[in-house]
Amino acid sequence: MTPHRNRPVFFHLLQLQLPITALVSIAHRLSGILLFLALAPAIWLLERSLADAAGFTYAQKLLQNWPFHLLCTLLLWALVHHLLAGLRLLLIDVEIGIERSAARRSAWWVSMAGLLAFCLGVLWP
Amino acid sequence: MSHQVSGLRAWMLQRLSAIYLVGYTLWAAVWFMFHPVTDHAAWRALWAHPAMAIGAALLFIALLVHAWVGIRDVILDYVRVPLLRLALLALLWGWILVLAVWLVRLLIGVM
Repeated sequence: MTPHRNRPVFFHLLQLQLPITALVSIAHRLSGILLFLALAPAIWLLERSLADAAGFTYAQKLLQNWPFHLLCTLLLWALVHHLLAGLRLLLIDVEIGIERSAARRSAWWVSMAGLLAFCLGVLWP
Repeated sequence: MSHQVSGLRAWMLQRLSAIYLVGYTLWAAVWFMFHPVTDHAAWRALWAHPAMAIGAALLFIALLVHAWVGIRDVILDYVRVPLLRLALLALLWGWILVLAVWLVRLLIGVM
């Protein structure tokens, strides 16, 4: 029984029009992987900042270094997006904002908040 | 059946840890906005506080549980070759364990 053997397959990612909810979902996963990769360096830096006064100033100085600052800003985006997208899913779990229009609206808010956090991070002195 | 149960348990752990992580992150963000830490002594004193030690210990547990479930899901979704999948899952376990030992040492060091 193979009724669907000859169904058309269209999976050209660049021509596929993904809805905002799908993009938020993909970014949720991506930001999660980014945060996971950042765990070890973050623990290392936390350990250094706690070890002695020199380590604390080292961590402070590191933030003024622009490539590192940019990396932290990217991680800030990842954190904000991941947190808000996760909160959105928790609400959808309890059937809040589950209708398509509400889900699309909340997805817009989540992505906008993430991008706003990124802009604020870039402008941070 | 047992697969379904373990999937449900992971899903539940992911949600429970997520709730704690959201609460802690928001609380910490507000706290540091009002009490910025500017020197090492204050930073060290904050971590030596018992409430902080307990809160941070729970944070690290929630973080590692959450990271484990999330990366496990990514591996299960994209890696189809059984042996490679098993190897990556074992690697993930080992890595989480390394981070856990590291965090326990860190917490004991600042207490």
